[in-house]
Amino acid sequence: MLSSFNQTPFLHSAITIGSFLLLTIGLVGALTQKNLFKIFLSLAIAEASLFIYFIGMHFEVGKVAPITTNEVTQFSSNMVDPVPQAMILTTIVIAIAILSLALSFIINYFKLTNNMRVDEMNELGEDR
Amino acid sequence: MSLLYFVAVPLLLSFLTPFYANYLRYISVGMNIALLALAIAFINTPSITEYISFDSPLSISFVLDSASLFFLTLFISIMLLFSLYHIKEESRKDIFILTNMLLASVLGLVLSGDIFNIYIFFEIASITAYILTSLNKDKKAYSGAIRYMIIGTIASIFLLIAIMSIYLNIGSLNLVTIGEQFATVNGNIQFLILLSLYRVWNKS
Repeated sequence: MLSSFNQTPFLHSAITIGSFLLLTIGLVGALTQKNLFKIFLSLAIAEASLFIYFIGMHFEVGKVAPITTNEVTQFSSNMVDPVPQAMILTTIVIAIAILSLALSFIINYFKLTNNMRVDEMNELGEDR
Repeated sequence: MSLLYFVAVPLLLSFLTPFYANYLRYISVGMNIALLALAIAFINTPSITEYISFDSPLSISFVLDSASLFFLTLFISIMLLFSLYHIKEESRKDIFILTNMLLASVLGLVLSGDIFNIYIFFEIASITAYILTSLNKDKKAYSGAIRYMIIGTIASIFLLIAIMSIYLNIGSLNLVTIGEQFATVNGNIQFLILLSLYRVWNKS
């Protein structure tokens, strides 16, 4: 019974459903929340769901990480695909850079206006 | 001449110029003129594909054909006019750090033949544009920059969805291979990819 949970199709479907739920949580949170911190937190959750999906869909049971060690001396077919892991590593760095830039903007905006709600940002001249 | 100079020279200058802040404008104008001369030197050559650091399936590739040469010349001449326009202003010296980095990322975006490199250069261009939006450091600038960041982050999420769907279904990141094999993909997934890319096009 428990070994059926450790099969590749089950893991792939679980990862697909879970990451789709996380993506939905992130996008709905970004569209409905009013606090600026919560909006960017939701967008970070949505990006993290994509990382989980992409790494998880290229994992198969029984394969090892694409790193050469003393036991594993050459690249072979029982390694997982190294391209998605390199891509996701780069994407995580970019996501952290954008999130920190957004936080610095929010802090400066809060110092100037004492306001952190997105529906009260009317500096650009719209009528409410 | 290697195609890598179009990306490497503006990027290197944008990181070096804070040490020479008084000569920043003249350095930028000179660099733009040199890049324009380099781009004009590539007219009438057949299309070039340049592989960097590995052999063909693993490498990063830069492609220069007539369409990318047109956009290359367009961006460089616009940036040359911009730096000539700002050459008299003393107050905004540091703007050239950001515009040089923007030029480097946009040139890489045009030249790159690899869809993940396109994502990376897109993000660098976005970050530079966010900082350029907030350059006045008052209420309006930060308000506009925060709104732009929300829209841009959602667009980059959808671009990442499109790239992931392409890699999961085709197994390659090279633009030529994607173009050859895109017709063999399931129709629903084609629709998903095009919808995600349409969202990105809407933003920019």
